[in-house]
Amino acid sequence: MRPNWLTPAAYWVAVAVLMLPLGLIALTSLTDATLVGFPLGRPSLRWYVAALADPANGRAFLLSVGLAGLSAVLAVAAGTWIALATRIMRPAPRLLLLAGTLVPLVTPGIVHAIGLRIAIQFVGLDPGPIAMLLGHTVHATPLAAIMVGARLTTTAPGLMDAARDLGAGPVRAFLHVQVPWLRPAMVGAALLSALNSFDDFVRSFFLGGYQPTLPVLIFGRLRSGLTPEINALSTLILAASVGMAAIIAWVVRPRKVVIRDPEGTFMAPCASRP
Amino acid sequence: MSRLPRLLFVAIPVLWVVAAHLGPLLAMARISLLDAYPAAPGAVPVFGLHAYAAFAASPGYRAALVHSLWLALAATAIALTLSWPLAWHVAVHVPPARRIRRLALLVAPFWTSEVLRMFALVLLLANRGALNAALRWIGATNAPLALLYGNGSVLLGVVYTVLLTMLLPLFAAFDRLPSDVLDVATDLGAGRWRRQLFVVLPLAATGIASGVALTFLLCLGVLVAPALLGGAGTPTFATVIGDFFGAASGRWPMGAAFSLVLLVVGTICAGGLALAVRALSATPTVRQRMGA
Repeated sequence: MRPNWLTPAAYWVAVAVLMLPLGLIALTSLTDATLVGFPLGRPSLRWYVAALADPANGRAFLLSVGLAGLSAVLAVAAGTWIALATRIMRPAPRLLLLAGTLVPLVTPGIVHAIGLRIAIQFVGLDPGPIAMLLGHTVHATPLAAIMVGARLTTTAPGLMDAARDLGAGPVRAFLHVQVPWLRPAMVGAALLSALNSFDDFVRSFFLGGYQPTLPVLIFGRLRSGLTPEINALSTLILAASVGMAAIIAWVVRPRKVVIRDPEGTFMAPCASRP
Repeated sequence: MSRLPRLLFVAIPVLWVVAAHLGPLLAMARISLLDAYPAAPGAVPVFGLHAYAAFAASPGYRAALVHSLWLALAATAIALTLSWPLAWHVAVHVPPARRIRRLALLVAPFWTSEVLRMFALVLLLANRGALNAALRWIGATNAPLALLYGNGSVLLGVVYTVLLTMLLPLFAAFDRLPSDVLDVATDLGAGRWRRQLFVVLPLAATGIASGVALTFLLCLGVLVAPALLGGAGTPTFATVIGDFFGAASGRWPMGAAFSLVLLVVGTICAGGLALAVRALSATPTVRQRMGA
């Protein structure tokens, strides 16, 4: 391909333009002014002190982090189970299961949130942390199933059979052979699910009742009254998101998989495999 | 595996998907046919098409739906136009060793909550925002320009919400293109635009079509952008639906029915767009040139 200057230039301009608005949040947080925006006041950490001192922010943070962690674990468990089940199904039912799995991913956000709101009312569950956990888990499951399923299709065809032939029970073969192989995809899916949950607004908004997550809290304050405290809080969340994104990028980087097998029992026959 | 554990192993995820993934839509369909929900104590629910009739009878609601469809179409077109050269650059021009890092840098802003991204746009466009401050500083304006609370700001917000959904499928599609095909096209004298239209589009049609369809669907469901960047004069169907579930308005059947209308109409339009992309990539001219 002939290189040209236009697309690299467009790339760097796009990176700058996409980042610029987020930079504005951080810039306008470092002020002693009481109004959000420009002209900026004198540089100050005043609003960071206010944001950290506000107990509502702390509660929302703990709720967001707890939801992100728990929903990630549940979504990866559900996604992995679905991916494993599709492996032993006949083509037609497999296609139906996959289609059903993908529904939450392709449903417009507002429709999915309303559907979940009605569903929890239907089963007699009040809006709150449990309802949000359910909603975030369902939303993250399709992506987890896709990621784990993709990894599953690259498993060496005879690997599980070899483990079983060598005397491992189904549980042992699963835990010591299959899971180590799937682990990078499971970890990557868990982190992505956690990030999606931490950032989610529309499901949390309709399922949370009076317990706001961080995005819902910020949304509410943006609609009522603005002080630069929101900017300080948002900047802290941005920093957390960037940190988590960096961890994801590091975890899902391509690398070799180590299968735990201290005695070398199960993997020995596979060692000579090309 | 013996029979019963094997059956359970498959049945549990199937039941979970039916209950948790499809259940909410089925529950929504049922509620949409009720006259009132949550029902008053002692009241007997009456089934019927009241909510759908209310939608059909109201020009305002229909206009909101049409407005949302146009908004989603415009946002999808803009997202496609922006994503194509960016995804192309990262997938084709950047050496493989640096590819993932360049992609990560590009998509990093989308790893923040959409609420924060819309707040960022408010800071850019508000009367006391960065753009107006800059315009006033260079002396271009005296009074702040009203950049927020119109169709333009909502459109910008929707694009900034969903751009990632277009970028990633395009990147994946371009990344898989065999590079020798492009070299052959170049050697045979195809220019830049011809290569994109007659070689890249047909080979990447599946990825482009899925990116377009998915982006369009997600655009329809965006609530934060119209809520924070839109004005009273620009209701989208998503905000209309959300309002039915506000405190104590008690009009859930309407919201449920409107959600289903949005889902069905949106899915049909998204499918149409995907088919259009595929048809465009398989027109006689394109096929003929591919074969030639």
